[in-house]
Amino acid sequence: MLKGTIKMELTRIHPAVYILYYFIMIVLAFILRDPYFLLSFLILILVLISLQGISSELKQIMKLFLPLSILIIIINPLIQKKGVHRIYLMKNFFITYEAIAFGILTSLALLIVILIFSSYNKSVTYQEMLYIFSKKLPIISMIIVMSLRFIPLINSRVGEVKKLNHLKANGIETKLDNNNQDKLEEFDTNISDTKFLKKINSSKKFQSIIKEAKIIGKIMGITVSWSLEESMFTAKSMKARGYKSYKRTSYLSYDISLTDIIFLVLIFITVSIIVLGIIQGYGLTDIYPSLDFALSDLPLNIYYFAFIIFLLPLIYLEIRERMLWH
Amino acid sequence: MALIEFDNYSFSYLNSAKKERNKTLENINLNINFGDFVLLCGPSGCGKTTLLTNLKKELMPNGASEGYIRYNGTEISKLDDSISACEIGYLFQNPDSQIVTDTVIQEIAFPLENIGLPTEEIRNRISEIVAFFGINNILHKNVNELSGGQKQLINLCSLLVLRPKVLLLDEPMSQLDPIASYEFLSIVRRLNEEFSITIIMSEHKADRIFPFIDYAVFLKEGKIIYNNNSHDICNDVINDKIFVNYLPSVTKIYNELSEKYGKYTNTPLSIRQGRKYLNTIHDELIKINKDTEKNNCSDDSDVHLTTKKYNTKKKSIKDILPFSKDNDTLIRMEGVYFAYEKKNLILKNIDFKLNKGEFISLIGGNGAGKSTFLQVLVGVLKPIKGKVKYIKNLKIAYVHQNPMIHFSKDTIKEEFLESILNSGYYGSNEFNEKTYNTLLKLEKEKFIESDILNNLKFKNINYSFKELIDFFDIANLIDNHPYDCSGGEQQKIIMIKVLLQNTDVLILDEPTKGLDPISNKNMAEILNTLIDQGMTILMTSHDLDFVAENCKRCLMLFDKNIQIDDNPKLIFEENNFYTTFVNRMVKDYIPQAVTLDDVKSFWDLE
Repeated sequence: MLKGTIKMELTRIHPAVYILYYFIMIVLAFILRDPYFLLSFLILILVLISLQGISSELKQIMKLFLPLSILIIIINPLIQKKGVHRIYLMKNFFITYEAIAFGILTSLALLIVILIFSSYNKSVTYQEMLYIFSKKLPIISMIIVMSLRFIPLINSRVGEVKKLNHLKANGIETKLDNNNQDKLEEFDTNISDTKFLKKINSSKKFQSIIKEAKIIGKIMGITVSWSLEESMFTAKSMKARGYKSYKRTSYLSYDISLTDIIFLVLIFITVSIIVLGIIQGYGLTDIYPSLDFALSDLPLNIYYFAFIIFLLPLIYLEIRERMLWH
Repeated sequence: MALIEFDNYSFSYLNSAKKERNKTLENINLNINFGDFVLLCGPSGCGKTTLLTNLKKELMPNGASEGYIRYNGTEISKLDDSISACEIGYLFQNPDSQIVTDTVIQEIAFPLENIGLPTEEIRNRISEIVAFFGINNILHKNVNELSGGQKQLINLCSLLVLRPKVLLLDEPMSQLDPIASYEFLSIVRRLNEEFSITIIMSEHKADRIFPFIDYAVFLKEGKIIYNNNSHDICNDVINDKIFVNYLPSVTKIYNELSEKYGKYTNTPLSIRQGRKYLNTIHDELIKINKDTEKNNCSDDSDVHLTTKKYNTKKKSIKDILPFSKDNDTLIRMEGVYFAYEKKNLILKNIDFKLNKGEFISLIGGNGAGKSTFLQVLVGVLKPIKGKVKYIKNLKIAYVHQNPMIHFSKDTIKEEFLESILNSGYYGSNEFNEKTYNTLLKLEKEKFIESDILNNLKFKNINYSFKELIDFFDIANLIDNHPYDCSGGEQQKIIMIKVLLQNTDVLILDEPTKGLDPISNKNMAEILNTLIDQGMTILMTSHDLDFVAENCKRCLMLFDKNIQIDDNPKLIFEENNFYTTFVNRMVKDYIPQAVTLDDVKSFWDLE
């Protein structure tokens, strides 16, 4: 299990159901363009995520996303001149009310999608994903598992090799002066003495870049040959344990439970109502050419409530999980 | 009928580079019965691994073979895929490189998924193995979080779920520390005793294995030289210069004693049996002891008076003051603290002086921070608090636990040339890039004989280049790729590189790891020669015998600090558990004997 993943322990939902559910959520986030729908979507997804626990990755993404969304909100009105309601900032320069609204709604939808993905990572472990894929794509799922092992391994190897490269001549020789450890970082470069290279050599910046590139090249070279050497044994050990002699099976098994069926039925009913609503235009506010939206237009209809119910089950399960534990 | 039969089996690798075909295995005749525990011994390159891989259809190397190997009456190459995969398990040396997936449970399930078992059966078998080994708590862990011993255990589990009849273990403990290897060994023994799994294991450190095995096979240059049960083989090899090194220390002592005092019914292999033997000649040993005590009375009292120097106690004011200068001191650590993570100190307030010409070893349990200590000392890791000071113009060489990562060139020749070029010790008249390129093109013999190289003078050693190559005995490897060399050879090559660079201090991280006894002896000889010529060496080791025989100063790391800093003989003499096998054996008679040579001189067994 990946670090930091706090999964529901007391309720098990089949990964396929999860995948379906999150997939519909993402589709809805792209289709819906109604401020009320999107706002309630955002609030409920935030509640779900706060129940599931905010990961450090999400914080990182948010740091990137917030300036980006502000940029969308600013740039869209500057470029997009469609729309009826014009707001003149200067004599000949105007932006439209519709473009601002479009920018806000788009960045809202993007935010929701990001949050859905983050929540998805919390709900479905990669092993459950593998279970879904391993039946159809056994080789690809094997490659994923192997790379999950290999990437951290190669990372730690790079670390070891890097350590040596802090020393001169790959650790074989370290020249140290009294209290002057900075000299450790100095490397010899053996660049042949053509005129062009001499010129480059004279420039300190270039020199340091070349040094850096050489060092990185060397580190990568050593790491790759080390890893390839070790990979030979990995391959042998796979072969020795009967890899490829039969059709692979999986040790993971997930049974469809009653919860899954109830969940599926709920998804089916609510989604069909929402789709009906979308066909009639509920949840899709027309922005261009003219946005006629008033705050008082509360969408108090069956479609909106179906949408809210569609978003509630995971929140309910998470809350119940807490209640059961305490 | 024997389970595995070698019938006049020979094997040679197909080597395109070399036309001449050396037989890697020659006329092997061997019968292994169901439930046997067989130990394969021999110097590295003698064909142990080739013999083991030839027993496993999937791993059979490319080459020409004569004769037959039969498993249960069928030839290995004609075995059914499923039988070969399931019934014959193969474990490699390096625990890390065998692991394919990222979690423990996935790794154990891997072979079962391969042979296409249904999910229920897979879970059944995993649960069984988990219960047997008690690895419930690490089942869902990521493999990166495990120790080397745990990793090797997981690898073993991953073979056992297939319910093998034969386990082929290729030096499975060479990368493990002594505690982990002892645990591993006891599990292997349990599998042999309780499930009658046939085990064929190759290993260098035989001290602990010998009491368990049914018989040992000693290989040399692809031929079986000795093949006998564990007790008798000790008598067989008594006059063999190579294989006598493979015997347990207990047996070595017994062999010396038995010449003088007569034989025991069975050759003792474990310390328990050895002590029983000593008991039979108890009176005579006491008598010698008294005689020697009379003769060396003055000496003995000296030994007993010098108690261990506990590093924490013995500190004069002169040592503490920072301005006190010692001309012999090359490196000084002053109050060094180090940690990888916050509030998790690895080293705490370490004061240490490395003096010129010393041969120091660093011992301590697994995870005591030995490697960290070395890396802080050479400056790879920066201490959080405290200073590491170096004398002016000091050149230090640091050799990593895995020597492989020091190499970046295609041939050993080029590695040497690079070292000379980088040393900065020779003027451009003596050695420059042109000479580098011309020398690189030379053939093996001409390269070694070349005047340019042989005219170079080295700072810390009196050999010329050719003498150096001969001394290290690697002349025939010089055109090879460094990766093609064995661990011991790689260590040697690095040491030559070090000498070519004219470094003053050599810092080695476990140079004795995975070496066979002969290479071990070689290494000791090389290091001692270097010390004699003025080199300073600091090394870590788990091999207490090596430390006791060679080093003059020994640091023991414990609880983040240097616990003891003294002569290793004095340390082991007073230890009861953390000491050499020889010392444990003869402790009641001569507590000050730590090595075999000590015993010989005390009991007059030359």
